[in-house]
Amino acid sequence: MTIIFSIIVFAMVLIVGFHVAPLMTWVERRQCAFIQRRVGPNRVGIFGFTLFGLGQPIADAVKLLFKEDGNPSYVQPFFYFIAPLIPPVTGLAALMVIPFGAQDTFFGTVFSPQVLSVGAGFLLFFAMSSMSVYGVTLAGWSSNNKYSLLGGLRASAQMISYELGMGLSLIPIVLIYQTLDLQQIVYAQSHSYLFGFLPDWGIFRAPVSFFIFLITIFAETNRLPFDLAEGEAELIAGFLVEYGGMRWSLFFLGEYAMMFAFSGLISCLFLGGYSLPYLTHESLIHIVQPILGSFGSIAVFLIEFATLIVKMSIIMLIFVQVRFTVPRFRYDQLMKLGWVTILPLALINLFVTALVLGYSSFK
Amino acid sequence: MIMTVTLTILCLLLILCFVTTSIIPTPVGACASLIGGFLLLSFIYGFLGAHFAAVIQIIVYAGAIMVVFVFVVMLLNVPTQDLPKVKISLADILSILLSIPVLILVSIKILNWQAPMIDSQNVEMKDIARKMFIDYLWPFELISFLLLTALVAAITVAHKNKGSRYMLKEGSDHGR
Repeated sequence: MTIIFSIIVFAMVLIVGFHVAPLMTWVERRQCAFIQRRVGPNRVGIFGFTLFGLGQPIADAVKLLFKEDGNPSYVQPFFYFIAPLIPPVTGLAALMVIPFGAQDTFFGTVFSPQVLSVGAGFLLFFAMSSMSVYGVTLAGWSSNNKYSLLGGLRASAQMISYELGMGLSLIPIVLIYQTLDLQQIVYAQSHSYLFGFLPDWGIFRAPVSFFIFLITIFAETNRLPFDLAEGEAELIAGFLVEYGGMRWSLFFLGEYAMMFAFSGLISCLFLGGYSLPYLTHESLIHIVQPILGSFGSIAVFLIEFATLIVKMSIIMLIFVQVRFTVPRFRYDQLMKLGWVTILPLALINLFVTALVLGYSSFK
Repeated sequence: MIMTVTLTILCLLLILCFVTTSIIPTPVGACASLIGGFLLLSFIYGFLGAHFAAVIQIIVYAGAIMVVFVFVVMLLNVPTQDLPKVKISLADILSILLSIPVLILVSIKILNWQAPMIDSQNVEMKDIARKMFIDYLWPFELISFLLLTALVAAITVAHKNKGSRYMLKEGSDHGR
């Protein structure tokens, strides 16, 4: 039974993960248009229903599928073909680490709706996300083009610089909740209250960590204002120069999947994950169980799944909002921000958190 | 039985990856097969139940150190025709022949070895941390000093000091 449930959750997460990229291209264009006081793509529809232009992603996907698949003659063939596969695979694999609901009894089987749960907890997420840089780097190198190569080099240097700050910013969370298991971290966040009224979310416990982590996510996923690897102004499109059609869009699928996975992680660590504020899993079950009987746990799982998706969507909208608000950094500014500002700030934050926690445990 | 077969396949693939790393002519290809080797090594760790070691193997080696390797290889970007040709000399053949008895001795030892199964549910992060930071704190710190020494030595060797007797003459193209 557990295997069947695992496959169902796996399929749900995979379907959501695949649909993020097409939807987000539309959201991005619409939000950009609103910020710039335009209308944006609002015409394409299905059977006469325009629905704010939601047919646009389908039209885009069909166009990309039927585009000519050009293979430049001067590329390094093996790496050129394998590089676009790495970002989507790692992005979707990272999404599997996120818990999408609380552990409960579904039709007599105890099951935790998390596809991959290992002893090392969310460190597995970082294993996946650190592998995703090879997609960009190898694409840049194998294209045999100096703009691509520069893009790939920039991406790898940027990832290394920001991974340190990202890792250090999460250690306070581990210190506070004393576990690496995301399921337990979410449980701890939903079952106690800070000062008696605030939900005990990570953002209230460690606000500095939250902001450092949010900034480093932008750098890790190569989003504006840190998309120096693409840098249209000086590198044309960086590592994407020699790619077209579906191969080109695979990079975007990977980028959006990774963004979505990071939004899931930030929701679980700082925003209470799948839990609703002031409503624990048990109280939800108490409300739903008398109405639906044995289907109650399924209904609660769906509510929690939707809650997490809503929280992740809000983070995704912040990604887009920042993209069209903040201009791109220069490369030296990016490196300076990473090494001179974020890394010491993360270290100080870690030190202060450890001091406060140590002091309160001695008292 | 399944365990042994899977482990054997994984180990053979691992050896294949590391052999490819040393014989493949292109530097990026060597890096890629080394990354593949590290990933397979972490699969073996994970398969034996040591999830933490598996994840750390990917994060530290495949995810961080190899990125720097790939970065340097790409930055230099030596054309394939400029790479030194590998010639097999008498010394190579002799050393291969001499290493065969060692290989046999080691493999006899390895074939009799039973892989310890670790129950991943019982190994917690706290146990690993206790071993590392309390039981073996002294060797652990010594290793970090060793690495620091190596780092300082590497910088000293690579750094071109003004007036140093190792400095190349003005106008020469080497060592830039």
